[in-house]
Amino acid sequence: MDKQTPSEELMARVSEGDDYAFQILANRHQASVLNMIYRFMGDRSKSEDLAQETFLQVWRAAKSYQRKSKFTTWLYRICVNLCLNEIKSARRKKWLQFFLNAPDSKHPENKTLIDESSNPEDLLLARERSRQITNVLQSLPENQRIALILKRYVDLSYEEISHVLGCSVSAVDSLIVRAKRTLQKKLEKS
Amino acid sequence: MKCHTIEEKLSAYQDGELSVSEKEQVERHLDSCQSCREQQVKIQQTWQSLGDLQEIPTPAGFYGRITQKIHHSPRQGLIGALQWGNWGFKALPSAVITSITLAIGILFGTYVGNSLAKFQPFHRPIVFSEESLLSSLKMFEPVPPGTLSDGYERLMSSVQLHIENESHPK
Repeated sequence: MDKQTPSEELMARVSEGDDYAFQILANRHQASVLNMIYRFMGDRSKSEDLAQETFLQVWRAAKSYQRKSKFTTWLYRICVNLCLNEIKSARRKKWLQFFLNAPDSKHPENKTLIDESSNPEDLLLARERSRQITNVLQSLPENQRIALILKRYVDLSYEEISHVLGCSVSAVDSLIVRAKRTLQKKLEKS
Repeated sequence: MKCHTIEEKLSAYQDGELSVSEKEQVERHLDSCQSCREQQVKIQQTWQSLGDLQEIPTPAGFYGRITQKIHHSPRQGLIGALQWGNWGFKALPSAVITSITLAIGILFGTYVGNSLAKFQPFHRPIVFSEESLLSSLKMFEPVPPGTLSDGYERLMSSVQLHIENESHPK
């Protein structure tokens, strides 16, 4: 077992309680999971918590993993479910705060990693551009946003996305078409 | 093929999701249609601009924190699933929780009610006898036995008897 071992094989070992296989899996996928969540949620600290929770769920539910299904599809399904639950919970909290007339203390940070060696002007422009794109992404409906992110940043095929979202391939196509159109309009405006 | 049909396929074309024949159809149309070609360029630019969104680094100690959480929580099993705080348990609809609480309340209430009713007067065996018949006929008396009026009359008669005894000691 090494870094070349397929994720499906590692996951099969994890389901038998192999800690080392889990470590390799987590190290292999942590960056993509974290960034996928960050792009979807737009909040860095929340994204870190959710990424950790995703791997925790992977460990807990290891026995329910079926080797015939692709590991990344299974992983991102967990990830998407956690994100959607978090959004629902945040929405409930928001309503509660609205009724209790309490101010919302937490706002998305929208901080991004920029190469600090760049000159200040480039740095500022890159930050501004990144912020614009984050805002435009956040304005998309959740199902369009998640489909687009899984395609653009995780590079899943339409079929894999359909397995993650539990819908048909044509539905994924439709979601991505609509997302691209909305993005195009909004980015043209900005 | 009409522009509208091609426009619908441009996104999948860009993502490499079309079949070979569909891809050829789109490419043939793009060769001859300036408007669709412009639309294709716009989609491409939008797609590329998404690449400006920077990545965030994985924080130091990320894996360590996962293992910490693992050691503080058991694997998902029947017991794990039923633990308070588990997201699956939290996801139980409030209607189900309300129904269960109500059912427990009804059962508990019925049990308590039946336990109390065992003593008086519901479960007293009814045996027909001359005495019970006479007793039941007392229901038609001006002051039926066992009522508040009967209690008041008895109390007053005993108080009167007590006063008489005190005023005329034997």
